[in-house]
Amino acid sequence: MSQDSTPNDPNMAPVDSQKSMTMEDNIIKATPVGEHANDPEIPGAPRIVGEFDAQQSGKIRERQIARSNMMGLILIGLCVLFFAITIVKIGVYG
Amino acid sequence: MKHVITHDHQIPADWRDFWALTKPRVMSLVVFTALCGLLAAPGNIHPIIGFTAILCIALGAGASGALNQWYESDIDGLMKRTEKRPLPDGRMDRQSALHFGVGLSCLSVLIMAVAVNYLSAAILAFSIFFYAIVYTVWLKRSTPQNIVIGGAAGAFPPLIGWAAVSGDVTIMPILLFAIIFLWTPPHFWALALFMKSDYGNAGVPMLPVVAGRRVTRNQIFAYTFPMIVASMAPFVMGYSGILYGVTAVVLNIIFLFCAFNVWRNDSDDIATMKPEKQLFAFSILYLFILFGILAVDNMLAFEKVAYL
Repeated sequence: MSQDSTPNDPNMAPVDSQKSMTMEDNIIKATPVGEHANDPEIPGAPRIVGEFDAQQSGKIRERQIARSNMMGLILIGLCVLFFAITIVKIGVYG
Repeated sequence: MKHVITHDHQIPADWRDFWALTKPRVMSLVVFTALCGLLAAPGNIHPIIGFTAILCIALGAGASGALNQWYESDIDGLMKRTEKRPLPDGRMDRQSALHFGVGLSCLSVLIMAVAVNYLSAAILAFSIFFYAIVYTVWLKRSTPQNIVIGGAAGAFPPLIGWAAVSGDVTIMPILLFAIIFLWTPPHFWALALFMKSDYGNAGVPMLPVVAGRRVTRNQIFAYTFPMIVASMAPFVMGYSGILYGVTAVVLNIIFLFCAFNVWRNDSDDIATMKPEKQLFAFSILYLFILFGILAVDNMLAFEKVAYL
């Protein structure tokens, strides 16, 4: 950002006391997504992609998070199961 | 201004929709009968391998359900009973359902082969093929005998459970297969009797739609007798004890009584189809109790209780 930029400069991010928030605030604000989609001031806020509006982008993000969590749990479960099977097989054939 | 999409399925489906795709209620009966087959089999299986076998059977059943819903999404939308499923309701796109079904099928069969044994994996693969292709694609829309032949798909789980423990298939698991195979027509036709209009609207040639309610009631009553013979066979042939024998006699008397009431009923009004609804409800209970007692009886006979 150049020093001689004016408040009306479109390249300059608007200075707003509400935007100076901590990382925790950012996460809380970014998580429910919808209304904050595409907000460049919020790290991690979902970006509107393609033909989806902000609300739909938010919904997509929510579902992606839920599905990722579920996939994570399933993969951890499979890891534990395969580990247990390996131990049993070693016990039987080892 | 952003273009607002109208198709909900462009938004990724919720994980609960994938769960609904596996037909959890059907899966519960599949898991139960498989567990009974596993417990009734001679020999012992390590609890972790047994759990893996049951998990694979559940995954295979879920995969079959997903592939079934993928193929039938057009007619599911025409029936009240199925219109709220993820695909006809627009909560998921068909491609996701197909990928989910194929992926789950491969996963279940591969884990079964690696962790349990090849025979149970082979039967599991065949049962998925039978339900997803033979029943869903070839039979369901082409013949009123769809559920008679297709009933075999639901009869495989105890066979797989047995094969997982013993590594072979003998007379007893074939009898377990026969019980479910012969139980399926009275069970499903009782449902079809009071869901006739649903199947008719969707163009599915279920027996009541094609041949009428009288013929269906006769067939229900007729199929009850071979089912009773099959359910008594394990006791008569000495594969199970007195506990199973007595329970089977009591359950068969009640089943026969329910089937007789259906046969006597001439009503075409769904409001007065109480005997059909009773038979449908009791048939589920019948299978649960029969297989549960069979498993307990054989566990006692093989002194598995001490091992477990």
